[in-house]
Amino acid sequence: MATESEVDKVDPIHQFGITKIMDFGEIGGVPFAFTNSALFMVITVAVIALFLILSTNGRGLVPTRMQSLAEMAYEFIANMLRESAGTEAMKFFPLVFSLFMFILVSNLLGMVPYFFTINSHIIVTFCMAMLVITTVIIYGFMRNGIGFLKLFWPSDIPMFVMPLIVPIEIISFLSRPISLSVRLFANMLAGHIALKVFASFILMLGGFGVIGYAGAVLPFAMTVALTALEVLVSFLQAYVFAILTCMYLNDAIHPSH
Amino acid sequence: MADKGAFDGASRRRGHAGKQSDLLPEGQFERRLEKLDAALDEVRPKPQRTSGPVQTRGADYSNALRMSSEFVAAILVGTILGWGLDKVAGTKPWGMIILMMLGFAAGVMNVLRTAGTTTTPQSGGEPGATTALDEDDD
Amino acid sequence: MEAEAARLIGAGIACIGVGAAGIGVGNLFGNFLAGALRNPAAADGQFGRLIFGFAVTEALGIFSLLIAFLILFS
Repeated sequence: MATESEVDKVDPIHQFGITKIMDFGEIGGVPFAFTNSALFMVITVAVIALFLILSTNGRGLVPTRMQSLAEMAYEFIANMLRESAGTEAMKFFPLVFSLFMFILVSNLLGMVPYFFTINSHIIVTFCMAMLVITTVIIYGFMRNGIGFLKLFWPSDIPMFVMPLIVPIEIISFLSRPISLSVRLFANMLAGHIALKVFASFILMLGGFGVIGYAGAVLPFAMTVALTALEVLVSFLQAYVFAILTCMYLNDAIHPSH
Repeated sequence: MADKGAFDGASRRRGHAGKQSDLLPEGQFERRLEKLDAALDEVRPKPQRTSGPVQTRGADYSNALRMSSEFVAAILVGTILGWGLDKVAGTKPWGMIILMMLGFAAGVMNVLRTAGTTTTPQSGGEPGATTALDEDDD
Repeated sequence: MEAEAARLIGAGIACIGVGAAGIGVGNLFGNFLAGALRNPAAADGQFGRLIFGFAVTEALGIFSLLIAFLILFS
């Protein structure tokens, strides 16, 4: 029964708690501190920077393993951007590449036990989504002027359905940052909660003695499978975020449908 | 896409051969076919065929994620907009009703757009369709 | 306070319709997949009808969700 009280402490939400590491007091009534979330953002950026700097340090004509990995990531994003938004969009390559690497590395770091998953907080993903959408809006107006509004005005549609289509297009546009951020956030949150719940089943069954040990094999296998799935989801979410960024940039560059 | 065409061609050839083997001596045609298949297997690029299904599975999964979240997000945005409009303009139930329906329409359109741009590269949907993952062969 | 409780219960009951729409969408896609596996060549041509059926089915689910929201927020 000692395990019983231990099991009671298993709280799948606890892993997402934010703790202050260094408190700087308040600025304008808003608490200002260096939290574990910020720490892991710094770690993520440091990992990416170290990886890219060290791997491209040799600049070999015949790449080493690390260099070819870095080149692969570069080529992957560059091809994606070029295919979906044209060569003109290559000026946004740093944005897309940074977003992709940041999401990918932070998701993968979040898979390490006891590490904090940055993207399980909607404010982080929403900030990234708003960064993308704001870039799209500002660049769209800068490049096309008022013609950017043609995005909401499909050209090959009869006039009398326009009052219906235009609000639909506007809602569709406004839903983009929501879907972009909620997808990443919800996948990370749900995946980690599911992992935690299945892992706690192992502890719970282990409390029943020998039969429990035998039964605990099932949730253990499930946990292993879920871990693999989570790694896949980490890649996919980073990929989806990057490709949607490319598509939205395409809208900013070529606003007419 | 390229190797899919080759595969279709091979199966068609095999079906054709089934008819023809009635005329030819028993077994001889089968042996020639096997030899041809072995020769073709050497010539055909293998890594593309093995990496194909895994990549498309990932692409399908990401498409499913995109569609469902975009559908729900459009309805959410429509509802929230309608609710806010009701709050501001005082048109109590109607803003939410109308904008939620519009949001639903926007969600269906999002799904259609996602599906239209990413499915069926082999059936020749749109030539300029963006198929990101499975277009590494050109 | 009891009217408040009845309101919340009513909103909850209205959400059953969303589940029913879920059954409908499941039926729709399941049958589409069954048909598409029997005749894959014809599947792509019916995609528009699939989406049309999905929209109509899901609209009823959205309708009940709308009723739930209306009960809750107005």
